[in-house]
Amino acid sequence: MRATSFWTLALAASVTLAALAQGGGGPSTPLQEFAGKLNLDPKTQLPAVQQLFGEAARDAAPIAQEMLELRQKLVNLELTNRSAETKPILDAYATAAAKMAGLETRVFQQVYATLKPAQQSKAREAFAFIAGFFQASGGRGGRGSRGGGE
Amino acid sequence: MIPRLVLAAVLVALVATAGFAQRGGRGGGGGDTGGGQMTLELSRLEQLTVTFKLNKDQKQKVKALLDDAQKNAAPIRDGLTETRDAIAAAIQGGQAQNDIDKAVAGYAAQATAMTELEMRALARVLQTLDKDQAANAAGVQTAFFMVRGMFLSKKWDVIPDGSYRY
Repeated sequence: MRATSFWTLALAASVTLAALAQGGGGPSTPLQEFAGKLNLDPKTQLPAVQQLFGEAARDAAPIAQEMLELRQKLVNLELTNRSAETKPILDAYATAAAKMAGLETRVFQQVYATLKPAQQSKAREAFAFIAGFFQASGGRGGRGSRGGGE
Repeated sequence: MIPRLVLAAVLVALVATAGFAQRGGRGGGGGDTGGGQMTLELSRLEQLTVTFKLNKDQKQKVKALLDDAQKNAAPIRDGLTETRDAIAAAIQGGQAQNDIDKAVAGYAAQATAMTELEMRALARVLQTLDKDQAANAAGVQTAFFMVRGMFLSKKWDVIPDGSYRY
């Protein structure tokens, strides 16, 4: 890994975490939206979830960087009319996407294990919400997620 | 004809400097370009039009290209939803980790297909630009980040709100 990449990733992870969890009186953060979907108890459940998400954001940073770079390679190949050369890039992307989805799944499994039955019934929607959750860093939020696609 | 290698070089440069500024919040669709290019409350086509100063003919071509990509995205969009649900169902059903991993792989395949479609669509859009437009590195960066998740909704030409993700 390039020397500069370390600082890029470290910064990205910290910014991602901040974006996910920032408080204040503004619009709800993604973490708050997630907590709302599962009706998490702010005292007994939310702190653990926040910690899990923070760790996941750090773990996701290098994967997200790899996905970003692969997307760039793909568009460059398309721009230079070398579509026939995209297969190894797509294979690498599939591997990275599986890592990212696996990370989201692992985190959600850990959250799910702490949920009460009534909360567990909301799992599908909550899991859809965290699709791509850890890939962006800057000010994600806005309206609710389409999850895996609407 | 735009110099595609120049465009490619621009993309290399912009991604190297973009880091993780992938997406912003509401109205930010493409994230902060750092160049003040993003305009709040504009649809994606309007953003592209403003950013690259597209003429009428180019705007029509871009719209047609992205309309076509939107149609092609439909089965992938459905696949993303189905495979995402399959993972959730596997977790809820307490299935073995091996089964969950298979569900994750299925989802990743759909995510890869959507990415391929997005990058191909982006390339087609960038190929409609003239030399001066293509030299707009901040604009190219805006477009690069804008297309991510662009076809997850049933309409692509909406005001991006940062919620389209996979």
